[in-house]
Amino acid sequence: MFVLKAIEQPVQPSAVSHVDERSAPVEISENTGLSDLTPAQLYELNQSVLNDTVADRPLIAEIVPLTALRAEYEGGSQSFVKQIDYLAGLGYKGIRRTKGDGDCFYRSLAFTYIEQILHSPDQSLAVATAESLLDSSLPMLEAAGFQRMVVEDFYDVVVNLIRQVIVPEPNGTTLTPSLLLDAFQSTEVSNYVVVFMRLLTSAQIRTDPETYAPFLFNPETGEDIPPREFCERYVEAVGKEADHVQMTALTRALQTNINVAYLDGHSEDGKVNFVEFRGSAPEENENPPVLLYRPGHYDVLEKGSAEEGSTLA
Amino acid sequence: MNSRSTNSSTALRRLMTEYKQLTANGSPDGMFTAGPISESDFFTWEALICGPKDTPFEGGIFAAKLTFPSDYPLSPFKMKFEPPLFHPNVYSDGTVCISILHTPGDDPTQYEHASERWSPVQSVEKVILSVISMLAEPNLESGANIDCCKLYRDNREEYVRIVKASIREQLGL
Repeated sequence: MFVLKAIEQPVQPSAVSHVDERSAPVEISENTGLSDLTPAQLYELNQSVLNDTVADRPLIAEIVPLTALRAEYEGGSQSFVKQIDYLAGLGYKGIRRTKGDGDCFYRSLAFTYIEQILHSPDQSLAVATAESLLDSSLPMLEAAGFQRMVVEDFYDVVVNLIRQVIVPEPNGTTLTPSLLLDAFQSTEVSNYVVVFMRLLTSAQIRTDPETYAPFLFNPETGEDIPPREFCERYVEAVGKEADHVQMTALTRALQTNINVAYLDGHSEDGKVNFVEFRGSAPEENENPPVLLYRPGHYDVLEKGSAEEGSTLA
Repeated sequence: MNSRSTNSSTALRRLMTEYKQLTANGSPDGMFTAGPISESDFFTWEALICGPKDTPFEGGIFAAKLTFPSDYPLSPFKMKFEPPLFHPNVYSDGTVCISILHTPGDDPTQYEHASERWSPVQSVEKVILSVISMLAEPNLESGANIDCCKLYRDNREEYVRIVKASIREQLGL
């Protein structure tokens, strides 16, 4: 199994703060050379840039054409450009960006999970299947040691959203693609969905420790780590990004399938590797949602373009 | 675009559920009580904690204010002893410094790696139970009151004396 290194998390301030005490901070102006700055100052400058970008970005955005992503790399890494062209050649037209807050995998996956139900040819069946699956996950969540009281609020948000595909809200509206996007852009709903995804992932690992234990290690030190501790530190905690183990566990818990396209700039011939995560037996001609991985981040890759407003191939 | 402001209705619902559960079931061994200070503000609670048996804190009742953020339980609450408590893991203003009230990314005093952290599956009850065991067993690795840490390490008798004296004073003895 291959493992992705977490690089989205910024360096902790504590790692550089001791330097601060030794070298006096330099006053920063337009003429300040980068080498004159203390590591702490550089860290702060970088952080403020990152924070600004992160704060302005919606949790998950409208689809933009893949050409917009290409434009970002044109002046830079040509291997990325080649890989983007390769994806375009496969028929992918758009990208739905998610905020780089460490929750991007869970948010992307949950979004595509509900979107699939919304676009299903038999919505009632899709909703019923999802509801019964989520309902049957409650005993697993309890077996994992989560109090019902704690789980319910998060569960309710997810189930209500799925139900809204067929059951109108009091104001008469059922879920539409644009209402789904609204829901996922609202901090509260979106983050509650993310937490529920994290709890499902954690419960899947905690209740089946033999399967997962050999793959659990501390991403910082590389040492083995017991399932409970792994889940507390790297799954349940909001903002901790997902690796291969969490992705496997969540697709199994939801009995859903996804493909992940690895846009890593490392491919010599410009091809993009797709890794399949199979939580259920794939049906014939099934087109699972595709997440686009770039080092440290996940977005959603779309075959439809922004104008068509649909993600169906 | 839509509104991305934080609406705290789910936080409120969760706090009400926790409060209901605490009132209905009580705390284990009746070691503490906790609830909103006034019905008009569910985001500020008071907790009353009994000093654990066989510790210098035995016999004392300690009041703490719990302040909940609007995105609770995604973010942890803050806990402050009022009046401040003399303890290695309590800042001199009374604020409690314990790993379970910090998320894994937030490491004010370099907690041990394995220490329990905040996540939305924690609760008021779990945190207060952790604080009670912290009263019994201070964690000198992540001290908040450095003088108190030193005293605890170098002159345990004096530490015990100060704690006991403060409890007697509090009880008006």
